[in-house]
Amino acid sequence: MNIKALIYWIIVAIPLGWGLKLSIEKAKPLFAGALSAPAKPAAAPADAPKK
Amino acid sequence: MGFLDRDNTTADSGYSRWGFPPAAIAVQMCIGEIYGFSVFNVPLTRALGITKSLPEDWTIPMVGWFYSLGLIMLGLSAAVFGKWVERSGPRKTMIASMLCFCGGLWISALGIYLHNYWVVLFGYGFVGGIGLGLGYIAPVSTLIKWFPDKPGMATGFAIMGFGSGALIGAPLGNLLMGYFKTETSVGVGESWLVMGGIYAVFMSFGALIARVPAAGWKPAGWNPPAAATNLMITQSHVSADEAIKTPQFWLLWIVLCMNVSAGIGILGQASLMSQDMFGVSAAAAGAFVGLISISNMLGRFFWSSMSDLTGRKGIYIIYFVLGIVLYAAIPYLTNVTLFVAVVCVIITMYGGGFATIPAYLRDMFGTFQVGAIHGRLITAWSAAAVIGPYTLNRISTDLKAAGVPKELAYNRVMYICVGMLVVGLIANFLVRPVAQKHLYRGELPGSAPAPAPQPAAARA
Repeated sequence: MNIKALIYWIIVAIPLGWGLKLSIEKAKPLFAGALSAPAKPAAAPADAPKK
Repeated sequence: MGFLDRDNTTADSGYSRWGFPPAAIAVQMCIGEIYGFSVFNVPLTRALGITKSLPEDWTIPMVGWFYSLGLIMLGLSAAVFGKWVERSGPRKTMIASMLCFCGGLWISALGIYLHNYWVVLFGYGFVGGIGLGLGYIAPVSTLIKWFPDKPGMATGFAIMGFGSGALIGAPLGNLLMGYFKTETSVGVGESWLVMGGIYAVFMSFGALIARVPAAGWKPAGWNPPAAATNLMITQSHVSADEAIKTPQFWLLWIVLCMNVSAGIGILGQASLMSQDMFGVSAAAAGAFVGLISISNMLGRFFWSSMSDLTGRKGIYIIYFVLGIVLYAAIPYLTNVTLFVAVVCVIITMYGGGFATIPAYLRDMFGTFQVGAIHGRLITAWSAAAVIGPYTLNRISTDLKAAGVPKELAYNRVMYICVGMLVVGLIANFLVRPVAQKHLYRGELPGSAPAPAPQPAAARA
């Protein structure tokens, strides 16, 4: 990769990085305990064989 | 317009092939804005009432048609203009895409100013949709020609760019609407004007730096594998018109359609499922949607690059077999973190399916008109866009409305997705090398024999 190609990559990486950063921030609650809601027992699958 | 022609975009010896993927990404991440369209849904239904919808305001289903027509036109224009794209080269196509996509946004802005539904539908859906189709297939065949040694990775770059469109378009739309919102405007029209300008600059940048390799160019030290070493990678070529007469084209059409339909099935349900099945808060469900977008984007690059190692048929076997296991497992999951992880893996393979298909087409039909063939195959996406939301999501809604417990309604949808993946797996298994009778016998563009050297006297 030459210097010109590297500059092209940097130019497209700026908006990509911005969008990625915002999405990760948006997804943070998932990693910060928002998912610690009590797990519910899964319902029996609709087509599960009857015992 | 010679500056835009394919012949005038041939790279010189100092050009690095790594300069082309940014051109593809620049265009794709702009047109991928359509994935972030949902941020405009509610404001568009309050264009007159501003703080609440008035009876004269548009409804959500009406607004949804801007998005749907855009995707329908993406498929149609990619299929119709595919051969023109091959002839014209990436630069001219990217500029045409920019004019249509950004022009569509500007026409729509006028439509909002006039509050004329049909003008917005024409601008965003019809004109903008043509821009989507042109931009989507513009870089594909050129990327494959620049990276014959890593076609999966190369197309993964471009299709990842499209997947990233929502990550940029949605927050940009929100930012601009927040800035332009006044007591008399929801700010959508003004936002589209500005977004059209920003995207025009970026897409023009992509077109400007786009170069095609010279005829006969190949990466240093790389030689095409001998035909006998891998029958699933052809060294021959098939024209776009001939390709659609082959069973391979239609098998791959089914492969893409089933993979995307099942993916859309869970894309449309995942957030609601997390709330209905696990009691996740609305805020966390929103965060989940963000995580899904990231998975969709990263999966496009990761899986497509992996396909260079596993082979295209092999990677689709992984998508389908792993997909079948994961979809079938969802009804049995009791842990929300595991549920989120499973959905994210599924979504990476949904994105991977999009990104790997151009390289699969190249393996089957050669590079001659692979962009045009890809354009025609994109109709499978349009079909999936109907099958996914209007059947799977409908089934789930109808079951819930009929009093079936939510969990059971979702489970039924997951099992239908499993069935779709089984169909895709069978279609993928049936893919074999293209029969000799379909191979292109004519002269390939750019490969004409060089003129015989002329006598010295004639040269003078």
